[in-house]
Amino acid sequence: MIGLNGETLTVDVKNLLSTKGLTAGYGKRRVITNIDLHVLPGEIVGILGHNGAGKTTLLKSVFRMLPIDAGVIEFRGVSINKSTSVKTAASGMSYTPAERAIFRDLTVTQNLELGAHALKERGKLGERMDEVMAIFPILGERKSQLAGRFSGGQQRQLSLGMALMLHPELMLLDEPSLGISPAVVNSTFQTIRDLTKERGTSVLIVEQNVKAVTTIADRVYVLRNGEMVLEETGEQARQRTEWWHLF
Amino acid sequence: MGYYAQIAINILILISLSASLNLLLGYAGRVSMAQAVLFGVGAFTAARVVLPPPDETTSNAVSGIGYGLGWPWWAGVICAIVVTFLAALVISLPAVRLVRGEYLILLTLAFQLGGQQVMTVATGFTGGPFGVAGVPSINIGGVSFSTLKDDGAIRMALLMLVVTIVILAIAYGLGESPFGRLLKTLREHDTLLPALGKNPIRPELLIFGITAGIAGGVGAFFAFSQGAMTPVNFNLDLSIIIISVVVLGGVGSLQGTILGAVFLGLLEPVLRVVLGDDAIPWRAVVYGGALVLMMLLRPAGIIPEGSGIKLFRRKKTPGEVMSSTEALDRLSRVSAASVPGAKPALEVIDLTKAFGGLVAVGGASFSIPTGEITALIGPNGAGKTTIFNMITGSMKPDSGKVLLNGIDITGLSPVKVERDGIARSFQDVRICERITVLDNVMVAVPHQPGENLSSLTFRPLYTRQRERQVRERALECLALFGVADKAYVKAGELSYGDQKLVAIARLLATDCDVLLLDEPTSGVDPANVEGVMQGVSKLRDLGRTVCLVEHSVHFVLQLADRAVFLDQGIVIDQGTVQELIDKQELADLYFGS
Repeated sequence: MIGLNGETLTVDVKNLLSTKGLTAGYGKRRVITNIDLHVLPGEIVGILGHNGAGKTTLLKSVFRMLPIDAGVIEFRGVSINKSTSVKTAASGMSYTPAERAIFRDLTVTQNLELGAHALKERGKLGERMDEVMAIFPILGERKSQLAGRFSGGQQRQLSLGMALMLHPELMLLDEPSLGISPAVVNSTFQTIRDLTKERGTSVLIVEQNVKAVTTIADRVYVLRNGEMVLEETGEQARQRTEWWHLF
Repeated sequence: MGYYAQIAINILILISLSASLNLLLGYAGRVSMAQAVLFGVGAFTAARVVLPPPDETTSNAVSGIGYGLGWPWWAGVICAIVVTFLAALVISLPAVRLVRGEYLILLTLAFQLGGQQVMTVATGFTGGPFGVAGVPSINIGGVSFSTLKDDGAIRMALLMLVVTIVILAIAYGLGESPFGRLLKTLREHDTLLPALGKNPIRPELLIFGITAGIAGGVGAFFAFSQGAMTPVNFNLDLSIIIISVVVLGGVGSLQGTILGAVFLGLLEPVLRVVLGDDAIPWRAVVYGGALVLMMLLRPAGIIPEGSGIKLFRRKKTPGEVMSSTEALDRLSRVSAASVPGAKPALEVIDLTKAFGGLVAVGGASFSIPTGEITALIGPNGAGKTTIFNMITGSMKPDSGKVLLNGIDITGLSPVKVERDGIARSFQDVRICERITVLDNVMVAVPHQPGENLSSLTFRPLYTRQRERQVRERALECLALFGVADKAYVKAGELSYGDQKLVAIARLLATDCDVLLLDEPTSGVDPANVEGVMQGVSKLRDLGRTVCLVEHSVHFVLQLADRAVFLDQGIVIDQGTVQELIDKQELADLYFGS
């Protein structure tokens, strides 16, 4: 964009999510310290790090499931420090935990309905469900079966489907590759990539599986022992050959 | 005058009973609802021992049993103590190790209610509902302590004061002794003592017995001062009042117990003066209200543990100002010199463990060289902590062997493994927050005669001398990691990073040659991580063999000499850390391919 005097103006694309100095933990135990990060609209951001580095704690505090000790979290430019997980879910953020994020004793349809619990226009429920079943055809084929009978990969698809029912602007995904076979990992990550392209949804993925995330991420952060030690573009991450020192 | 003396006797009895329960509830963290019935067992035993033998005029009339063995009063006290001590062992056998928390409350409640019932039906011993009457009062050299007369009642109150002071002194002495330290450790973490090589069963059984023995002895004095009693005197209400006194006063605080007993003991007489005979129902209201208020205002009691008036100031030892290098120098003089890398200190051979169908460790073999730091690394779920648990005996392997200096230690109990020379730390620090930092480390030092009641009683000088050495050693360990200045602070007040350092100091204090550290840096502030890492390398400087589980490869690179790479319970590779990270196949396993 050119200014009045012919100078080049850079337009600040507004962050969808940003944190400044975010610090949180459990009681005395400090798990994440001074985390600055941001997610742009339509961007896939990966957070990598060793087991116990604080990745899940970071997601939970962003979703406001955990009290924070210091720092600011902004969603769409507004502080959500004082928000609750119920409110953040209704305001366009979804959170998919790493394991067993489904109701095993309910059918697929019932699980998806629960995912849409905060949906105000109830008339759209069927439409949303069809959308999700188009994305994950297996859910449509087995919609009246109990979710507990599903394989690990199918359960993961269902949990993602539940998150999609509210058309979130920002999806928080905790280790979507955990416990599922490499082939399913690839197809799940491809689905995530497609979704962001079609809908402009932003995704913040926490992963230990470096390869899986770097293939689709626009940007990655590395968390080590609660500290952010690296931020680089997805391209740089794909080129990187040495990860040991960051973990 | 006699009336006031009687009130004083009642309060002193309440103080004594509560002080004994405080040993169990306050120090060992085990609650007992059966204190009243044990008190009753002592009272009836003493009464039946002291009552005169039956003669032709004796009859089992409605006035209750009035005959016994005719022994002197002091024999009654001794019998009461011995009988209740043994009765308590019966209660505590199922309680120790098997029953915890709410179930222990239910179990002791069952003993209280069952005991009450037995007392009521065992007419041959207790006189049933009519009880025992005509118990002779204490008579020392012709001086009577009968509460029927004013001067005798005052004398009895004074005697009870002496008894109470003796009981408080015993409780204080036990609580502050190395034995008491074991109890306070037991109170916070059940699994910690075995990991420090100390058998938790003996102190727990003993404290149940001692608590009961004291209650029984107090029961004897109750019998002598009252002259008559029925099973109703020892019902559940009394047990609940005793527990309330301890909780209201401050769990673990004897001064609080005294205040609590005085408050609850005076409640009824004072209300009687104010409200006359209408006082009885109000007592329960005031008493309930006081409990609710206290819970809101002072949840740790009137005088919380460790915050009362200090009767004896602990002398500060020069160790407190010791520098880290000085501590290293002192500690290395007592450390066994080891030749690094000479031969493996620890060998794990083909260890397997499955949980149901899930194989956590599927034939792991590796060795830990003497005097070096070896790290177990690998992706999440590689079986690292399970291997630690199998080495230290807290989990039995399905097959395979663990050799320590060539000797098979597979399947030994955690206590034996520790005594053979392997100590471990825990991911969740497992620091006892309510005792001082120094006590946290002192409890780990081996060979403490003061943990044994017979040495504590019969060899007090030796015990005290050894206690000084133990304190000095603990201070050296703390100084080495730079936390000696916090020795007298309650461990709960420390930052998480400092607590990790205290846990490492405690590990060093065990004198074990092989130290296993489970995630030493996790949860530590970035600012303190450096200190913890230096701490770990100091263990190596002292010739210790260290094996650690650590998720951050970055830290492993800085700390460890060697690493063992595990994936899904199988050892993929072992070697120097650099060798391992140079291998592409390991990177693929770790970061995904």
